[in-house]
Amino acid sequence: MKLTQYISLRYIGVTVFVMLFSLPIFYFVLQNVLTNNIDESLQDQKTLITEKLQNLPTENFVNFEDRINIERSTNETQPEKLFTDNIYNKKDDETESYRILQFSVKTIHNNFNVRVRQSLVESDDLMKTILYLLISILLVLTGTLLIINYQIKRKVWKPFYKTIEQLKNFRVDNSKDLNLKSSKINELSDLNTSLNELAANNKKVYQSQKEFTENASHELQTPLAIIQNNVELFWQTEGISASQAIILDDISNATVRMTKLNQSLLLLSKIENRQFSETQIVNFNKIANQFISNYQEQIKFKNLRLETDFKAIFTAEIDFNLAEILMGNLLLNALKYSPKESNVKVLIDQNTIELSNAAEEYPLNYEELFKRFHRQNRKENGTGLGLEIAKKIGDSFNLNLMYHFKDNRHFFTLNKN
Amino acid sequence: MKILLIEDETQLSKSIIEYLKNEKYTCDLAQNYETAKEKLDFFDYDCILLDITLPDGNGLNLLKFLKSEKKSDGVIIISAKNSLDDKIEGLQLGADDYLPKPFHLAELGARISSVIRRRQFKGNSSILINDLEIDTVSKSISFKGKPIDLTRKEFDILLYLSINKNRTISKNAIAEHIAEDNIDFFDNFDFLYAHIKNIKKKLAVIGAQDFIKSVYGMGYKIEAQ
Repeated sequence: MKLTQYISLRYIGVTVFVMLFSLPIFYFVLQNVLTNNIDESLQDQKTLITEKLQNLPTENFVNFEDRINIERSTNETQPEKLFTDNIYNKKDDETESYRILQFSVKTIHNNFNVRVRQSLVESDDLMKTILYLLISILLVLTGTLLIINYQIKRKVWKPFYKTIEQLKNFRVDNSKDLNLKSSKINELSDLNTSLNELAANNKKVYQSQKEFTENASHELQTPLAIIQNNVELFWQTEGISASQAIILDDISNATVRMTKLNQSLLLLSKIENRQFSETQIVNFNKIANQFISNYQEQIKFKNLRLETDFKAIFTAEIDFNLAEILMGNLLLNALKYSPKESNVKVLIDQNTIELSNAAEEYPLNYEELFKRFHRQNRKENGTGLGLEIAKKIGDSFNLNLMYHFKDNRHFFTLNKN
Repeated sequence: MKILLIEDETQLSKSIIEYLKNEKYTCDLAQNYETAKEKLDFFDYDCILLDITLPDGNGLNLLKFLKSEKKSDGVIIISAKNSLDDKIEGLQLGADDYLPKPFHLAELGARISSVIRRRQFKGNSSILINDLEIDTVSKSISFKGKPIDLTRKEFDILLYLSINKNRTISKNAIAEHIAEDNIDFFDNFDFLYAHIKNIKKKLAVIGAQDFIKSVYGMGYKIEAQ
């Protein structure tokens, strides 16, 4: 729900609530006031009538007013009473509400029972008019509020939505700065300034992190080279014993492994930082063929049966070298982890590349498979980065690398998204 | 053979120079851009080993300088950057080869030898070792005129060992040399052992002496006069 919608709904809700709550109260208060007024006027009349009755000769009194009813009573006096009653009006053929005051007046000679009434119709009409007026005012007010709110949404919130839009498009690894404009509204200006600073800081941190990974890898190359060279020079010195040779071999192996790790990490950080040169439409069938012809001797050495089924040409827009690495890593894994004298299948269709090789043991753990430094088998001497590199390259170019296990075979498939 | 090493890392250059001296090369060292430019101006070299990240300039500019001076020295770029862009630019600017650090000295030796062969002995691309003639262009080997049928990898291994004759070459260096740029394949050396065994067998069949020596099983060496 948008903020403005939320606010509008709240406005309407509160208005309806206040109206439902306040209108009955208003109605009763108003009615009370009006009734009080009428009551007062009835009391005034009572005073007047009492006075008149006591001063006038009783024999010839005439009652002109329909509203005032005076009856001579013998001895009973009625108690004074003020009440509302409905009386049928013959003339208009309807029942009307009246406020009635009944009381007794005692003169020297007589007792009079008096009833004075006053119609409530007028005050009801008045009240209705006031109520309608009030409701219309409230409705107009609410409507105006909603319109103002809508206008505010359009004008005041516009820069806010623009900020959100720009934030959505902001990438910390993109060279473009966030650069949010300041606004007339202080809060929005503050927000944009803070966001600009935050983005700039993040970019700086990201940049230095990126540079650190790269620089660290680069800087490691030289000491590694020095170790490797000196081990090689040591090899050439006179009279190396068997035990020294083993030590030199261990150093050499460790150096080679570290070199591979370093190069793989450098490659990974390059992929993650999207530092690859131009992309182009790459024919994966060609790469696969090239690889297979390069590795004929290894395939023969392990007595592998390589079955290729290229149904169609698989192309993708990708950096050529990364495509080679991706395809190479997958093919290499299939050849490497396939037991001797088994068969390796490579199937290429227009949208899928599927490689499968016989499994020596169990299905691989899918969750862990593409993770950094994960090796299913500790005996293996690889870097543990090969599949992650393949996966990362795939992800960067909308190629989905998946694994499944079927009929005691490992399947790696590369699908176009 | 005269080689100029342009490298600012003292320890690294020390080890390279020691290796090159053992290989009977004459070696000059330039540790910065300016010295390198001076030396290039005054002398001619058979091969230049060029580190492109120098403290006072980009090594690629030295390539441009060589080109403008119309010098035909062979150039191998040795770089810690292993950046494809640098490689492409370097080769476009006339470098003969690109070797990312760290490298095996034996590999460097093989590359230098290849560059010098290509530059200097035009037409003569054969290496003669213990009556074994290795033709590096047609990729064929013969013993006393009799051809030996080797697979491509076997040929590569034998050539590699021959260029580095009388030196012990570690299994790692050989494995990397024949690894087709893929750094992850040779996590065991069975493949290498099998190839060496085959080469020895083929040499024995044709009557050549067994001159490939295993050094404590950690490396190999061709002994030659």
